[in-house]
Amino acid sequence: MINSKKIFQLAQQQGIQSLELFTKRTARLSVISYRNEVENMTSADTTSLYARGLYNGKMGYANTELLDATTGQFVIEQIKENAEITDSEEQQQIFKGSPKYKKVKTYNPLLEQWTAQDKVIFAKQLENKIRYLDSRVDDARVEVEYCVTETMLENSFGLKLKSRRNYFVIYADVVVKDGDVKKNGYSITVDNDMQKLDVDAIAKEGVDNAIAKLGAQPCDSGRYSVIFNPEVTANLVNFFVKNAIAEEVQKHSSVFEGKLNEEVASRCVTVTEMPIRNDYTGAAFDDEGVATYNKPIISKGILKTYAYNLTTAEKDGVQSTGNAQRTGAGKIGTGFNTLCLKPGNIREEHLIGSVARGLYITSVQGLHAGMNPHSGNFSLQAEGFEIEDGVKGRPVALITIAGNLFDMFKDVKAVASNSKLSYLGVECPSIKVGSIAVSGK
Amino acid sequence: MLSKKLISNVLNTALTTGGDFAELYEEKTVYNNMTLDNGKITEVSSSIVSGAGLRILKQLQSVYGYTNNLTAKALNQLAESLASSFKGSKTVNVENIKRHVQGKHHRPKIKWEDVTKQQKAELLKKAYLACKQVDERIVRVVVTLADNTMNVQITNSDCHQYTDTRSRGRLSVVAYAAEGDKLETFHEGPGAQCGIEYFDEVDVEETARQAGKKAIEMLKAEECPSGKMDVVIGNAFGGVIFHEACGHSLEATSVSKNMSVFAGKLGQQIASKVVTAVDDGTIENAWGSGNIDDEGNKTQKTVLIKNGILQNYLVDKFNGRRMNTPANGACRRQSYKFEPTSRMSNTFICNGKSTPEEIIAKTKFGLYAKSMGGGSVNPVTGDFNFAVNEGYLIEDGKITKPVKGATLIGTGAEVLLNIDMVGNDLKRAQGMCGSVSGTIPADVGQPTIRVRNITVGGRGGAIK
Repeated sequence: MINSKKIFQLAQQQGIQSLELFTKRTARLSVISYRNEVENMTSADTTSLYARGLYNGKMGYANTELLDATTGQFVIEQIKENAEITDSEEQQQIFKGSPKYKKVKTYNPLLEQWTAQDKVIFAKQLENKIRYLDSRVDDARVEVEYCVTETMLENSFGLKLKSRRNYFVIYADVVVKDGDVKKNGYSITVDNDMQKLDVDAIAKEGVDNAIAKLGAQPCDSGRYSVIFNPEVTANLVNFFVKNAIAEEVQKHSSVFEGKLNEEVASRCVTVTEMPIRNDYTGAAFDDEGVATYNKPIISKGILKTYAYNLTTAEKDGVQSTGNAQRTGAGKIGTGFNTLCLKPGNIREEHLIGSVARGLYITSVQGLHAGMNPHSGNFSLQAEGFEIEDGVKGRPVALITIAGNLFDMFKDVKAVASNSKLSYLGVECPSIKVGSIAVSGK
Repeated sequence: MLSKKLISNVLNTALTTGGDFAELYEEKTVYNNMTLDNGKITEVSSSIVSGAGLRILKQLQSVYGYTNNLTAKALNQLAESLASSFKGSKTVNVENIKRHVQGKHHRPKIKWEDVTKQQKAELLKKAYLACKQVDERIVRVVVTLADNTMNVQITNSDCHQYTDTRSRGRLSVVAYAAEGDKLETFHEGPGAQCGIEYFDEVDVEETARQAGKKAIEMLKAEECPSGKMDVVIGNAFGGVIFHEACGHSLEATSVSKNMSVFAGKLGQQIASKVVTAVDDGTIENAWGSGNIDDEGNKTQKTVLIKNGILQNYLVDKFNGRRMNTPANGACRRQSYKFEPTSRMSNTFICNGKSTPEEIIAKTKFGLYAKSMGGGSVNPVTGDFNFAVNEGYLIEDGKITKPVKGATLIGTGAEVLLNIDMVGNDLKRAQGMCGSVSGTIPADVGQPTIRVRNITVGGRGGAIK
């Protein structure tokens, strides 16, 4: 639908020094099974064009889904107007290309054989399994979604890079009831390998998650030793490592400023970025077209690198680390692609066994508001279980845990061996933290 | 926009397999964003969102599809593909579509397309300077102006077509204050369904100064103590708790499936008697208002709670079928990429009789949560959590010192019953509300209120 050759010609005629066109197509099909009926089916196919160009040394941006004869004119005009009004001294650039790009398998052709009807059958089957797994299950709803994304980055230096990925998301929502008390739980599975799909395990995970919350009460306020499960750890690691983004460091809004090669976490914390991997999260190039590579960000508690895009790298006089990430229609920011916290040798049950009085936290809420990303201070709603004498006991809810993220990562006492790739695209095991303030009853 | 003839064809194709209702939502929205970071314009972007969403209902089933390929071929293919989900024969025919042009209310005086980028840059610089000059400890100011103009055309198999134009603008100021190791931020974000003239009505410089002053104030704040205490919640954005912990649970999306704590409670007392709350999508030029909702129904003022008694839910066409309740103009979506469902517009607790000063004076010990941050809620249980952006301790009926890092947690049902004082200083504030049908502009609001015995989380140790 997009005549890129014509847009590049027009850009040249209009005095744009260099131009990049990034096209993203997303196709998805989702089915929702509710009370044994297909309550909803959604089918979609959209393509969006993101264009940016250097005009008089400044970068202008335009983005459109209106792909017709007017597209070229719109993006070129907007790039020029938007560049003209920009007065930032940042050195933005369009990339000529990396010498080499690694190969990643992010597309599984076998998934194409999974028809819409198959998805309906699977969703209904899972819903039924959930409903009959426990008499306390009051309601269930299952969504099965299949997604394909295709991207193409091309620029006026002749660079042309393509990527294609597919994956499915299975979301099971479970409501359980005991007397008048209702609680809900869920299970989320994201993958592109059908062979790993285990309907019984997904049903059990969703039901267990909900049942565990029945009877949950706040615990006594005080300081507790805490174990975070893999999903919560993934959320915390994600927040923590964002401080290594060079732009934040350069703008003096990261506590990792001046901490390169210094200790920022406990010795048992090693976090690696792994974009080169053959699953649905892999990526061979970043959103500026720079080749990606696997690298440690924090190794045995020591900060090893900042994450750069081309602009922030230029400012520090280093190479881009392949971490450019597009967040919207404008400036390209920085982010990570699949962070992995290195698992330890101890099994999770042994980690729990090592706690005399503590909490096993299974979910935290309100990270976007209750966590100050700059100071690291947090106060978050949490739920989980009490641990007494090494045994996971009664469920706990409506408590807050409060502390400082940076102090907390220095207080990680042990990392378990139970690594899991969360739907956030972060792979983490459970961790044990020395002491955290808890507000309950 | 697509022709009536093409739309008729698409809707008729969609209904060939027995669907009882079909609707085509077409949209073209122009978005503009400009960011000024520490005095320099660092990012300017323009976007067009353009496409159509097709919905077919058959009793309690719905299918939805969307595309940005608006050719007859692509749209008919989409209709055929969606229709194939149902088995049956055609019962509804679409002909002689009647067009209703909306747009009498919430119009901009100056259209965004007539505003130059230079004018926008000047507005941003004005806000930046006002904030920066508050104190030398203001180390960074980020100001953003976001405007959009959305044209929609909604055509359904009842043979009605509704068109509307919606224009919005919002200015956001984030002030960063630093001293030693401390870094505090504060955000102000006024917006309206208006043109740029709105920023003559609100005092942009004063708004920016407020963001700066509050960030500075929080530098000297101590960590908030934790435990159960009475909390006085400030007006305007303080209403976010009602929005999240009660409003979402009144949407038919969760009520119709019995997945809300308030399902089946119409006519029952769910809040203390001092609480009356409404959702009003008709307020002229308000951020969450509209001439029509995204199903084409006229927006309305809906009383949700009156003197503590639950009066109404927010209902859309599809979920209303399960509830045997007609839609009440509260069906919204972010864009054509979302199937619409029941959502809030401008939702707030109405004025009571106390003055804010009386409420503070009558509180022996507690937290004054003057400005709230964001939070989240579980619609099934009503469990919520909210961050307090600007907080003060109340001791012996007086505000004593600023505190930071506080989080309020509880359940919506409990909080509603524990509101014991409602002030007379109602004010609304703007927010972006995220839910199943995307992220949409919505006003929250309330006068100053007092809630007894909320769990406050903080790092300042237990209450002494």
